[in-house]
Amino acid sequence: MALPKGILKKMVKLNYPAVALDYPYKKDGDSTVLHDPQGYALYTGTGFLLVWREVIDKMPKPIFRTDLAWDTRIQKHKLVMWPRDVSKIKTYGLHDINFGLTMWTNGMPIMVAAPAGQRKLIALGPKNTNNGAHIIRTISKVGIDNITKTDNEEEKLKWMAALSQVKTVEIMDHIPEDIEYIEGQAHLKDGTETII
Amino acid sequence: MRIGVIFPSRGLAFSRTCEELLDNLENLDYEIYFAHGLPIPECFNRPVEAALKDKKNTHFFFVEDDMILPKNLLIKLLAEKVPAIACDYPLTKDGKASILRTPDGTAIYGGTGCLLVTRKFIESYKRPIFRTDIAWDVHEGETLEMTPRKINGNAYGLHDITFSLLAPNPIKASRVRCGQRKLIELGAQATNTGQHDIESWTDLKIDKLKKIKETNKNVILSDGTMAFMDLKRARVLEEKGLVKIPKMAYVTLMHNEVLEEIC
Repeated sequence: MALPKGILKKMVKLNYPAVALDYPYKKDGDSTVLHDPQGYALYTGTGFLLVWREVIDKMPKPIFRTDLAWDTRIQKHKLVMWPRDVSKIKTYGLHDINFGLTMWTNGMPIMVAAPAGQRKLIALGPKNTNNGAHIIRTISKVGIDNITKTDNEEEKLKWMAALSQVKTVEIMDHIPEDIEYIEGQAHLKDGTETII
Repeated sequence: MRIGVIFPSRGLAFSRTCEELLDNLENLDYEIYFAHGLPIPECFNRPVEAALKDKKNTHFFFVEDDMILPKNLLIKLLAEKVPAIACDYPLTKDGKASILRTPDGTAIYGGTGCLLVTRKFIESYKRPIFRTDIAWDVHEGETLEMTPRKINGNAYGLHDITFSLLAPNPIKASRVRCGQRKLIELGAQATNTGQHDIESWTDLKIDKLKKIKETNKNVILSDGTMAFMDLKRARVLEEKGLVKIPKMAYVTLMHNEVLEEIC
């Protein structure tokens, strides 16, 4: 992480059950936070997260889990998310999304305090020299709600446009009836197009 | 007492080293002075100069970003109450020691991986405190004769050897030993099991100069004059307080214009 100076003190001062930072995870312009229409986080990254002890104590255990992935669709001003069992497949992350959604569904959404950055190791420095510094790049431009993992600009714009229309959020505990999975990807059973 | 921790880093630090350092600093008054991605010797000079500016700092604890620090190490080093004390650690997997010692155990020179010094000790150095433009030619004569030589261009280390050899007081080699971590391979990206492959080197072969066999010795008589006599006789006289046997010197810094410049 690349942290703004004094940020922990500011987060403590907010006196809120869970406070996180928003930061790009892969490159400048993407984000780890998905906001609800009220501005709270549906989920955040766990890069710099401050949580009250009472919250941690009351969380279902294990606190962090990676066996559930969440798919999302936006339809008629509503953002819907549902879980999918991924316990049998290799995954990356998910612990943060599960944590955030547990907080949100329990009426205690994570508050986002500030933007931050992330450091990326570009190359290890050479060995056995006095000038062996590693090459490290900091990404720090946050594209609000750009949680799409795509490099396709058109897809990204489609997502952002749909998201801007969202007025309500529903977190489901099962896969919707009209959704089917083809090669691990969610599709509407009737074949109509939607943002998923 | 306040510890100025000098933590030079190539840009990454082993998280276990950080954990061990913070564990050692628990309940002590301290401030950490980082250096990120600077070459040697700037990665030592910049944080140590910053630490020296804060007059509250009474001791300076150098810890490199790849060290294995035993529990309670710092407390043990402070308890020695000496101007400078260093921990030995392996430079290679098979245990090549970072400290070269005299037969009586004093460090001739050592690494800067884990080193505690007092303010008075470090303030006595000419600036820059750490330098890499001097190499030392070694000749084994009656003592270890070390001759400084200016070098230009790429070097690896050297800051620690010059720092040790120009020390105002001998650096004590602590009985506490450290280890060193080595990154063998970076972990895989974009996976939940992306931990790095890190080796811990803890085997250490102590490196000591061989004892120099002496039969005769210069001794100091009670009137301050010197006399050359049989060592056994000198020891008997010393017990009676009639002569003083000077401490044996194992290393001689050979005088030349480079030594004059750096001392």
